[in-house]
Amino acid sequence: MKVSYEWLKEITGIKEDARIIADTITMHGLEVEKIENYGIGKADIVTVQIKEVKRHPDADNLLITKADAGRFGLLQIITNVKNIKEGQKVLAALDGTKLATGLQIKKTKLKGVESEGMYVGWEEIGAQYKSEGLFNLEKDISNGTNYSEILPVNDSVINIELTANRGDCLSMLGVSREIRTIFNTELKEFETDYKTNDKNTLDLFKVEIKSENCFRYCGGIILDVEIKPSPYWMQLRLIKAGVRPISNVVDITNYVMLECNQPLHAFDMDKINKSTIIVRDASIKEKLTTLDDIERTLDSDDMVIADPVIPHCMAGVMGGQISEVSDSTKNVFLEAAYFKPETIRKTSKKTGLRSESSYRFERGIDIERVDWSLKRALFWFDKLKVGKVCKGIIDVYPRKKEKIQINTTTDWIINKLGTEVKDDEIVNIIKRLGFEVNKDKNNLSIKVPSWRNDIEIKEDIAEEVARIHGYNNIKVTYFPSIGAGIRSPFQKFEKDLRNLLYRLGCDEVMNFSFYGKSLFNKMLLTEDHKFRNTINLEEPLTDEWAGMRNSLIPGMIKTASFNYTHQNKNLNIFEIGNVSFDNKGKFPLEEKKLAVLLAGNKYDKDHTSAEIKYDYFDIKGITDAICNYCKINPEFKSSNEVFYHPYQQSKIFTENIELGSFGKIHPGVCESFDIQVDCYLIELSINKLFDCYNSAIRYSEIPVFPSSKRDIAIVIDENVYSDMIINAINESNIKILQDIKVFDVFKGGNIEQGKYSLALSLIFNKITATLIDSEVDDAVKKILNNLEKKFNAKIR
Amino acid sequence: MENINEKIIKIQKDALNEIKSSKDSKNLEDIRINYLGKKGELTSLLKMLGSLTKEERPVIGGRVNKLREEIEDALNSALIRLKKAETDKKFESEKVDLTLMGRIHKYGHRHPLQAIFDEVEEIFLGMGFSIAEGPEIESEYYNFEALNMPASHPARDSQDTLYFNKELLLRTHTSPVQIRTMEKMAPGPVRVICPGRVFRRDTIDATHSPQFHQIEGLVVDKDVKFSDLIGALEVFIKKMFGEDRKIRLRPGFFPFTEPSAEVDVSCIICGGTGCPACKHNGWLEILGSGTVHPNVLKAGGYDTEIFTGYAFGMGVERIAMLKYGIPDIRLFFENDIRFLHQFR
Ligand SMILES: [Zn+2]
Repeated sequence: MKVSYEWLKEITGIKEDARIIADTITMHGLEVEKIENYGIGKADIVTVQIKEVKRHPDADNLLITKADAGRFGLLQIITNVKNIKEGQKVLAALDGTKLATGLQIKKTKLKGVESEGMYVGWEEIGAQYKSEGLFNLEKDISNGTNYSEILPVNDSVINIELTANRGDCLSMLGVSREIRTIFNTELKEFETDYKTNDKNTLDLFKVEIKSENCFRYCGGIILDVEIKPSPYWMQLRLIKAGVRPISNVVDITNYVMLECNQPLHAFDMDKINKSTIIVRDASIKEKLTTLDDIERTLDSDDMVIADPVIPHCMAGVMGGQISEVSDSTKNVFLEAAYFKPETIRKTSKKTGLRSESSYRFERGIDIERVDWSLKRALFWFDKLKVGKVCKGIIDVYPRKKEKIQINTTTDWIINKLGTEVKDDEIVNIIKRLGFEVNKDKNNLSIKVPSWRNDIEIKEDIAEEVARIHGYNNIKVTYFPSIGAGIRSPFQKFEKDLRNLLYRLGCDEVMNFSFYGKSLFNKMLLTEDHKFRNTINLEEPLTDEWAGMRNSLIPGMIKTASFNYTHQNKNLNIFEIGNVSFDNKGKFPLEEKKLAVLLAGNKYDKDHTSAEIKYDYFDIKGITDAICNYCKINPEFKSSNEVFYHPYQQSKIFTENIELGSFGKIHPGVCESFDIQVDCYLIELSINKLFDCYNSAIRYSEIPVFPSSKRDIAIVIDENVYSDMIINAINESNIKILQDIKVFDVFKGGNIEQGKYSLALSLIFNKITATLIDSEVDDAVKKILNNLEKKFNAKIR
Repeated sequence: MENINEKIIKIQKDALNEIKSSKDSKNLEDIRINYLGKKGELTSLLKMLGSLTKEERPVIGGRVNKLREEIEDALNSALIRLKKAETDKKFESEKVDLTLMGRIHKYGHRHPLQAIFDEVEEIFLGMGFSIAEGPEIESEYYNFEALNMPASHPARDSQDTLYFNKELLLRTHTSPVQIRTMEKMAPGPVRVICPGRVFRRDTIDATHSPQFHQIEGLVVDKDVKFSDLIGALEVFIKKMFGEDRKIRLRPGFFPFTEPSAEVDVSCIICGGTGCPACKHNGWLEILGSGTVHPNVLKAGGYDTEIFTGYAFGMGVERIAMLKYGIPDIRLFFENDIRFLHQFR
């Protein structure tokens, strides 16, 4: 809501300046976004009368005019304004004036002819409105009169950002009520007395309400109207409020809307069949062409203002073309109604039509003042001599709304706020806001005024008291905890994993929760790949964000690509985030996942080291670190994901639960993402890790006696993996065996085709005594025998 | 006798000179053997004692022994001197350019949003709040209806929603977690914060993103007052932004709280004197808050005559942008490591 300070002063008589008003009302519930300055202050912009208009001899588009500027003399002004006429009174900016458009007026020669000023319109004098043509001022304004004496252009416009509950403040009346409450000012009652002709509205016109969603409908009639511009003072107030001036009839409806918060609609009365208005629900697929020249197809939950033959308006949202007021309109039927907010909201949302009217109806207007607002409009029709106002008004009010009654106590309010407010102050605040209050001891019986549709319960009353008393006058209290705040075991686990990854050198990223087709295609995924099986949005923002991710992997690769193409070629990044899965019509399942991606070099070449590239064993190392941290024994099973290298990928299981997968990203996928280095990736389910994770820590004794190390090398079949050997050794159940380490893998040379050599260090130890050589020899023998039996392993 | 005395003086002179001019420890050893060894000069002197008189023997013997001690001392101190010179030389050869960059030890960087989550969570854990989480895909009921926002409510306009179907949507705030938590806890007390990702139908630009993050707080108990809310927020804000920060409450509107308050903090950049970050008014809007609307408590399963509560919420991106001076929300989700490396 844009509130003109000058207008506000007229209604409330407030003395404080605009800045103070803005700061104060912000602290009491009407947040001021900014103050716009209007006008250009002191300037030589004066009334002049055109005396002579001639063609410029050397320029077709320029006119040489002579204008009488009173005490400023007779001026010669060159202009390109076409329809300027002798005798017309306009505003002209004189030598030395700086206009709101930034233009500096100087005496100058235009194509050889001197010009002593410039004719100006709204924009040049600092009203934020672009218009064509010049003013056409009243003939009785004397030449030379300064612009600021004619129009209050110099003003401050206070822009209030209203919250959705304060629809009542979408008007000067509403804001003025707040000013009255906060500053204890007066509130001038709007005049509604007007002269009428001898015709009675009720004899000329009929209104029928057939829809349940129209609670009240009032109408008035103005005959023999003369359509012309409204007076400049009215136009200026509309401009300040951000409303375009159009014609006297339309301007009055908008002006009263701004004054009283009552949207009005003016019909060309002669276009209404049978002088009857019917308010009804639209029929299915009913057609109506609105003011903006668009044919709308309606539905049964829309409401129309119709006559017995055709529909005219989408009630409360937009008028129709047929009965629109035009230059040829002779008689006007004026509508003021109360439509059910939900109905207007539905229609407005469905059609995407947001008008000043629908905006107000949606938020609920003052049902008790519909007739009064209409009379206020009729007052202006009479006052501005637009036409002859008929006697009486039509008022159909089938659904009278009872005032809401709230019972509470001052003690309850004080306790709710937790601060001391005197009983008198509470009552005083509620009264000043326009509520009716009866106080009996500490019992309050409150009637809510009809314009406050947002007040329903005693908590609302507490807020009213608090905001006028001042939130910052409330003394702070504390409600301390009697328990401890803790993270749940799962939250702690997630945090621990996060910390582990930081320690492993991984940088944390956050990717988008959405993804879509383009990313899948770029990843070269098959049409039936599980990543494509997303829960999709009804109307996604873009195709790229069509559905919810069910894996972190596509996002990680996309981020790798972004970095690679922005000169960050080495990456060690991780993400922890939610993914979701369709649950066959039931509530979707969400899961927390973890992903790590490595790309490019682990270390660049420098004075301490040669270049070291990330390789498969780095991602495997991170996998191992996570498994060790969680104290789980991973099993690695074969995997055939299309986005991994066919021979460098694995699924990770433990106790038959699939935790995730890891591997080298397929070079084809990298290429498709413009990444020209090798990338490695792991994705794990945190939920599943948590299920398998062992949180207990038990100390185990540190051996005091020296350990003994034996190295063995065996030759085995290529398809026997190192973990099969290690598992087999562990299964031999040798008590003194403390650790096994692979220290070499070798193929080729004198080793038979299809076989390879695996070299292992076996570390033996005894907690109770020093080992004897023969014990170790026996153990190694046993191990080798076992391996030979199981895998045909030969000592090398 | 004269002869021996002369010899002693000569040996003394020669030995000390040789020791003095010795350049390495090997040479010193030679000197030791030459003078003090089994076949050395002093031994041969002692062998000459037999030719002396009974009276002369002890005198000369004493002088020879004294000379031995003198030579031994000279040898020892020369040895120390030479050792020191040798290590000095070795150290000098190990000189490095101390300013060369050290060998890189990489550590992982925390995402700036996670840094804010962690900081806020620590403060509230300390204030006795636990952490509650809920699904990102929510039902219409939890996201709106239960929070006193029926479909006809104009407040829904400000939360343009991404829907999957009529029933399912992406949560537009973390407030549904409030309802879910209350359902779990009723009729017991609640004291939680709810951090999480939320979504709106917004085109991405410098200040808008279809995904962002919030942290909400909820306390439900017997006789919780509006003034308790202010107390809790004041503690939080001082811990989060500094003890000399002030807070200011303005009336606001949220369908799920009544009374509602917008909470401003004295500008964390300029301290309140005015700067571009606070639009030159000295205050930054940081939180929305209020006492829980009875309809919401009812939806959570509480008797509103006995239980009251307060709630508050803040935007994580906004706090991060203010705290670190980040100008564009898109930076958080582009994940350029040159951006990420600036945080910890
Ligand atoms: Zn500032």
